[in-house]
Amino acid sequence: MDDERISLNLQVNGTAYHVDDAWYFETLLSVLRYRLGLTGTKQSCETGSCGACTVLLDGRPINSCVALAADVQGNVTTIEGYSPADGSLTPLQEALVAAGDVQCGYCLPGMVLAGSAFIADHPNATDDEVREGMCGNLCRCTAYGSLITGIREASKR
Amino acid sequence: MRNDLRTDPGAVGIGTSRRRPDAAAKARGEFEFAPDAAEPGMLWGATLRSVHPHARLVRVDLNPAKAMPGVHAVLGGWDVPDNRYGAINRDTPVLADDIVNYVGEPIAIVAADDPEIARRALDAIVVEYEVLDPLIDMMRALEDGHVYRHVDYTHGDPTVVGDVQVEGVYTTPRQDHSYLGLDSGIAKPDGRGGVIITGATQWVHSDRAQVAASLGLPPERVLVINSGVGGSFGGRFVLSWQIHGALLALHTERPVKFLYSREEAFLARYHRHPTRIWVRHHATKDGKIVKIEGKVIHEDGPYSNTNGPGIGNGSSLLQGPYNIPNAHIEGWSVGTNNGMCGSLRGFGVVEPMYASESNLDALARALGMDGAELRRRNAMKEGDTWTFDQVMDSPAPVRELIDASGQGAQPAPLADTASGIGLPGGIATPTRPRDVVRATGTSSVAKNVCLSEGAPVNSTALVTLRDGAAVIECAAAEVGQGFKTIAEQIVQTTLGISRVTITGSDSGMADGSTTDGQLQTMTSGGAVAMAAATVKERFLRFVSREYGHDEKDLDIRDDHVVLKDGTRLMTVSDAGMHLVFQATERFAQRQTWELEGRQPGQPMHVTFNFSATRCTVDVDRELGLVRVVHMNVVQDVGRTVNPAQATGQIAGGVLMGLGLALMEEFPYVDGVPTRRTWDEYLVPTMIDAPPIDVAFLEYPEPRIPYGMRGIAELPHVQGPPAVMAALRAATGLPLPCIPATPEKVADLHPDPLPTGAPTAPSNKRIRENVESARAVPGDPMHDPVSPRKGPWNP
Amino acid sequence: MTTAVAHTPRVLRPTTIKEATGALAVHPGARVVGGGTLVVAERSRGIDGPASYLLLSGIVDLSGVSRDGGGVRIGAQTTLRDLLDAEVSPLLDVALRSLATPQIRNRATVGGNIADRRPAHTLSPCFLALDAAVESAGAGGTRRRSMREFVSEGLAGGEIVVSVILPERSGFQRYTRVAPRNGPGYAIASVAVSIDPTARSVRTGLGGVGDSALAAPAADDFLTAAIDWDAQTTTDAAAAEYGRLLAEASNPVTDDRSTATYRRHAVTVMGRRLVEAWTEEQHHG
Ligand SMILES: Cc1cc2nc3c(=O)[nH]c(=O)nc-3n(C[C@H](O)[C@H](O)[C@H](O)COP(=O)(O)OP(=O)(O)OC[C@H]3O[C@@H](n4cnc5c(N)ncnc54)[C@H](O)[C@@H]3O)c2cc1C
Ligand code: FES
Ligand code: FES
Repeated sequence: MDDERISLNLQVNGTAYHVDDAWYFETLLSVLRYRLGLTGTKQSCETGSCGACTVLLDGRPINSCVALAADVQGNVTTIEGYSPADGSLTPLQEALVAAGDVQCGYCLPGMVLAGSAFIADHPNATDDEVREGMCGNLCRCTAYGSLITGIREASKR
Repeated sequence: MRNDLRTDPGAVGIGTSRRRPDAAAKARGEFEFAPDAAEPGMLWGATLRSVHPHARLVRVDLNPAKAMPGVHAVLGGWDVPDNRYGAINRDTPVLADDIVNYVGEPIAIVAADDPEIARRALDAIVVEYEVLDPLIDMMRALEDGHVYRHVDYTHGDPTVVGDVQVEGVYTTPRQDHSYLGLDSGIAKPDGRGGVIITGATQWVHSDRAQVAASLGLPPERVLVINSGVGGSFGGRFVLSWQIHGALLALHTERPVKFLYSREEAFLARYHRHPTRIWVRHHATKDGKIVKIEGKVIHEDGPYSNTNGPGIGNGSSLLQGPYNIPNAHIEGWSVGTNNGMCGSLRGFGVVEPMYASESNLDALARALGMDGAELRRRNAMKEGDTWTFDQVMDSPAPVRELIDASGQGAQPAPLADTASGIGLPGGIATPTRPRDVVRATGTSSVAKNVCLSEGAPVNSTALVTLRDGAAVIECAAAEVGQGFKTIAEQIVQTTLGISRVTITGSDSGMADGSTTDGQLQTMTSGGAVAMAAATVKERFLRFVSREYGHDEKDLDIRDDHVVLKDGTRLMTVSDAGMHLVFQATERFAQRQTWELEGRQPGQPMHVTFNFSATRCTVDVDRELGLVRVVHMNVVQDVGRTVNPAQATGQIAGGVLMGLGLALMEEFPYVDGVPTRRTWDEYLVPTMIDAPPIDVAFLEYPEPRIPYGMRGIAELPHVQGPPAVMAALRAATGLPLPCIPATPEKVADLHPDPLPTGAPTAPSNKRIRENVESARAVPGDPMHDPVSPRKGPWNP
Repeated sequence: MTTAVAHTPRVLRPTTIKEATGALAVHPGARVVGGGTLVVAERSRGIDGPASYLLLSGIVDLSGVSRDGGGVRIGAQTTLRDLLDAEVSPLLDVALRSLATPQIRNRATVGGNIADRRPAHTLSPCFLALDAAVESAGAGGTRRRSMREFVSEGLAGGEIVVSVILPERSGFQRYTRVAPRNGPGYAIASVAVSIDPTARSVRTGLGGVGDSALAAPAADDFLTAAIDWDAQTTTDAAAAEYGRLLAEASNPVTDDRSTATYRRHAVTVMGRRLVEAWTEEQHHG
């Protein structure tokens, strides 16, 4: 079994991490959550279908659950790295929680990170652009209305 | 965005969109959900599950797994002190003993150093099955007498015959909760022979009772603490990993964490029961409904567990929000080997309401009458009597709701939305604007609020005021629905102060009831309001004594003690002299009784809520592609405690209903579930979600503080009939079977059409079958037990 | 559990195509990883647990979109996002927007999409319609095959996809699909078509209606003959017949996602509407 363990070097939120005893098949999600303790990245479907585990890799959103940790090069940003260190909210985070019906919030960290990349590419987005650009993030509690509003408002330039 | 829907962390009191106290932590990823927790020295649990829908366990050899390095415990059914559990009916094995009754049934559990080692230990366990024939068809189950509960009642004169009769058979599929927050938690020994269970649940006290009973421990040796819950929708009522975790924690004397994968959640957990419902409406030529007949069959899986109340709800509410003087209705809850079934938002009511609303669409067509008009003419009102002989003694503004749903914003015209994702089919759709038929439908629904038929519905809250700030303790589970926010708002308004917080929830507190049956706002919220009122009384009595004012002249407003005329005397904080003012109150809903055998005046349900919706769809008839364009939902909420949250609950619930109408289905083929990921089991995405306008009526609920009424289940009941009414208007097809997938809407895969005669065998035969089935001991499939046993009726 | 082949490193990181094919020849059990979106999901679900992975991400020669002359070469490791950004063809743009989600597209590769030949995959029908060729490499060297050959034969053992080569093609190019929901997810059936007035040729690719993506040569030939190329038009009857021939070329199954009847019907209607759309585009701009 020991030969199934590998060591990893990951760049996460600006910090270089070295992990010694990861399984060779471990996902980025698993390493972030269970080895680095960064549980802000949520685990839900593990098949790339829900977006709860979204992180940014060199600024682009990916599903950390279907990325092999051994195959990740570049800078990973998780919700812990994205959120202001002083405990406040970014304008996007504020827009999302102000827009209304955040419920269980399990989808929210992934929604925030995917949204941050989306608004960078889509100034003054329309509702339909938000729907298409954010379709990789499921929310089971809301009807998405406030999430669409929040992202659209945060995209205003 | 409407201004009153913008949340504000500084907003105070009932009627404002106060922001959830945990919103910022959730957006920053700091809020700890059950899957995020860890303990020092923690082991990982895993569960070996049956791969067969029905089999005898000839041999289960745990030894190879026990011998593996890194494995700390491997347990089977014989290790469980009392190997049955159930939230209502204790008929479900904790771990299978000699028979497995569904794919996914737990057989053995392990605890190991790491999730991967735990998984490999499961692979090492040797299970020899003797495969048995599974019972996979609900009609077969009914014929063979695998009946958990049968109800049969009449109302008025069941021999009445209408000028016009329209009947149909309608089916609804098995639906998955698909909450995002995986089933998870940690069990750890308390060091004194007991166990502490921290995880995601909707009722800590029920969990405690069940865990303690199975472990053979006194309840006080089990502490259940609710953690951050990532959605619930009725899906955390039945235990999943909790007893397993507790057993392993006690065996290993270490904390043990369980975290189900999505696929395991699909296999292990219960789903909304599939149903088959026959309904016949009798009406006069001018559209007055004179009688309803119905036969409701719920397929309720291999163990009854919680299923008794489902068929009670289902058979009682088949009439919908209409006044119908005569009725004959029967219902059966039957057992099969197709996986566990249980409560999902709108338990037992989503399905009959879908069936009867669908049949009203057909009746309207037969009468040549507008669907909204037919519903208006028969709308229930306060003072009417339900078919189950209960007087509607609270507001029932059904006609007003129907009228209001027809007003409000109209959807964007097709021309405006015909780019990209604005057409049926979404991106890369073959549908062109000219292929689209747009149509609108109206539907109206009702749901019982709170648990019914004798279930206890009560909650206790403790409110403490000190230095001008209040703290609420109430065990009611916050699962995302927003109880914590509204509890704070209730205390703010009642006490006249702004600084209010609420603690976590555990079973060491007084019982806070279940987050279920849309009951928490009006039950735990009621307890919170009463406790706050008592604190206020005690505080003002103190102020009057200390400062020499007449108690009757005093009030609290904006954090100040004031005279009734508004003159500020001092701050609440100063007036209290650092003393603690505290009150505990219990709020109980009125007693209810079982559907059959009630005396006059004994209610079956606590109360009801109502809504109506106008839905607009675009349909490509040739390809069967559908886009729901807009929904206008109007619901009587009693009192809007928090407009943002109420809107969110209603829109979110309607979207789940849209999912059930158009795409959600968890099928079994030969007893084996065929969908195990969210690529296979589809739920609505941002592209599928239409704009949903939500409006409220506010007729206060009698007997409840502030006139609050539950809101959260009804929208899910509302979704399917609303979507399907519009879809039928667009296609002219009966579409009796949901989900209405493209092949059905394109009419290439005709649904089985109504054949007239009731499909269920006679009651007498059922009764005989039940009697003879009772005689076969052992296999719970053959041992139907009264659903009224268990914690609710020991 | 799968037992490891002795001395196979758990993670192989070749930096050249030759190293990769050489490693696969020695370690045939290693699973090739493009972006990993499929491979990793399958491992998580316990469907496939290979003893080692061979990562293509370190091979520079496999990435990038380059244009030479009128044609385009798409490296196997090109992510779907990068292919979308490259705006290679209107047909591909729509197809890629409909393929999974933005997050998946940032990771998933073109090679991984076509190497796995399951019929619901999006790109193979598109590449059929674009008359593409596939370059693959094995221990014995590289070879180039037409997409038609590739979809029916697939890769040989130890072989990897190197690139997809699109010849120059002009004119109408479109992709449509029907799916069980409007949001992201695998299609029930799809049709991609290009109608090239310069080459006077029609090329069709079908998805979801066979064991893998299918070409429809009889339908292509029929429509090529039925089009009045000078007037850039055809008849309604020809459009309908083309749709019917697409259904004839199909060999669909009834599965969890839909029925064979619906799939046949869907390609019939999509085929007819695509030809109508072409005609309309010629005459209304
Ligand atoms: C939520 C979700 C939705 C999806 N929707 C769609 C969809 O609509 N349409 C669709 O087509 N797909 C869809 N997919 C499937 C999949 O993600 C894509 O097909 C993707 O393109 C696969 O690429 P990859 O690089 O990630 O493949 P990998 O997972 O790396 O590999 C896939 C397969 O190809 C092999 N392979 C990879 N690269 C090569 C190569 N260069 N040479 C030889 N073999 C190779 C691997 O060994 C493996 O067998 C979806 C996936 C998810 C998770
Ligand atoms: S957990 Fe990664 S996409 Fe769902
Ligand atoms: S708020 Fe619960 S999943 Fe989005």
